[in-house]
Amino acid sequence: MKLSTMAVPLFLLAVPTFAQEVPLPYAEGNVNRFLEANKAQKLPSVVLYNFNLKSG
Amino acid sequence: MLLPSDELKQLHQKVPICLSGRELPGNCDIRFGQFYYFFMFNAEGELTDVADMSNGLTKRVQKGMTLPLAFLDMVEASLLIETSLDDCERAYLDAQGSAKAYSNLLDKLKQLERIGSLRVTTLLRENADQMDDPVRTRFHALSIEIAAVRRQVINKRAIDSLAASIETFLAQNPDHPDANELLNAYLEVALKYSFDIAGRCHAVAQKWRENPSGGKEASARELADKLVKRCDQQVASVRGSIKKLKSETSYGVPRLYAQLGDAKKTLDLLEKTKAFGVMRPIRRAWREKAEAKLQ
Repeated sequence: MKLSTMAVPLFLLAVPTFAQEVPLPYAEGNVNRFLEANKAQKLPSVVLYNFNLKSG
Repeated sequence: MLLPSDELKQLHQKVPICLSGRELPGNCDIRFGQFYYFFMFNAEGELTDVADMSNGLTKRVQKGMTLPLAFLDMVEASLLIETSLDDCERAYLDAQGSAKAYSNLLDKLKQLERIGSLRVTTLLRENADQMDDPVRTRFHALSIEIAAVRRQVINKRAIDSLAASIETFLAQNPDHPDANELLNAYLEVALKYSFDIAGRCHAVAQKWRENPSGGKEASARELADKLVKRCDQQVASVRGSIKKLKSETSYGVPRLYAQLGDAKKTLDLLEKTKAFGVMRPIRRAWREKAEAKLQ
């Protein structure tokens, strides 16, 4: 088998793994801990209620 | 919209975002069915703004913004609001519950679509005794609670709690200048989902007559009579609504028969009509009371 044909399934396997590891630009759940952490860093916070990645 | 775009990544560095699912922030209350709400907290962790995501985004998209930009614009606009609900609460307490501070607090709650009303109610009651006029502060708390339950909060616990709050306030202050308005709110808002409103009103009136607040016997008796009279009007109004019904199995009909305390009809209609999430605890209570009455 050519190296290039072996690479295709490997690449396809790697894509979801890579996608899962991309850091999301938002936190999920645990609102109080999230607010406390931002308060400690003197940062404002946005909370999107009823929003989660599955529904929204 | 929430795909990790460059704009969102940049925004998250400056203003962290949390998708809370069904977890409510800031000790707030929210009505069943109020989906997708946006809460802004300042750097001190205090609530400054609340907005309906759907309305906020739609308005901006209609002006020509893309969805991600509309979201960024909502955040930017919200960051401009400096006064937090906590600021208004502190100002009220510092001003000893003055009319001006109360008015500012109400304005802030309106801006927040009354989300947060019940936390303010609790705070005012906890501090009423330290205010210049404790009765006035308790009345402020009660007015905020009534407005919240009338317009924003729909859940059995809040509604039951409001009925108890009004009963307690009027028992202690039967001569209050706004007593008539409170009786209206009691019947129209607090007892809206109660079983057998006449039974409850007669029991409450009896209690007021038998155990009047010290030195207020005459006004307690007078108020008890007014309650019974106002209740009769409400029962007549419910009967009028029943007469006008086109279908007995529509959504709101069991409530009317429950209010009348018609146990058999209530149980019958509970079988024939559908229950939706927020109504389930209320319907369960009707069923329990109706079954108890029939036994």
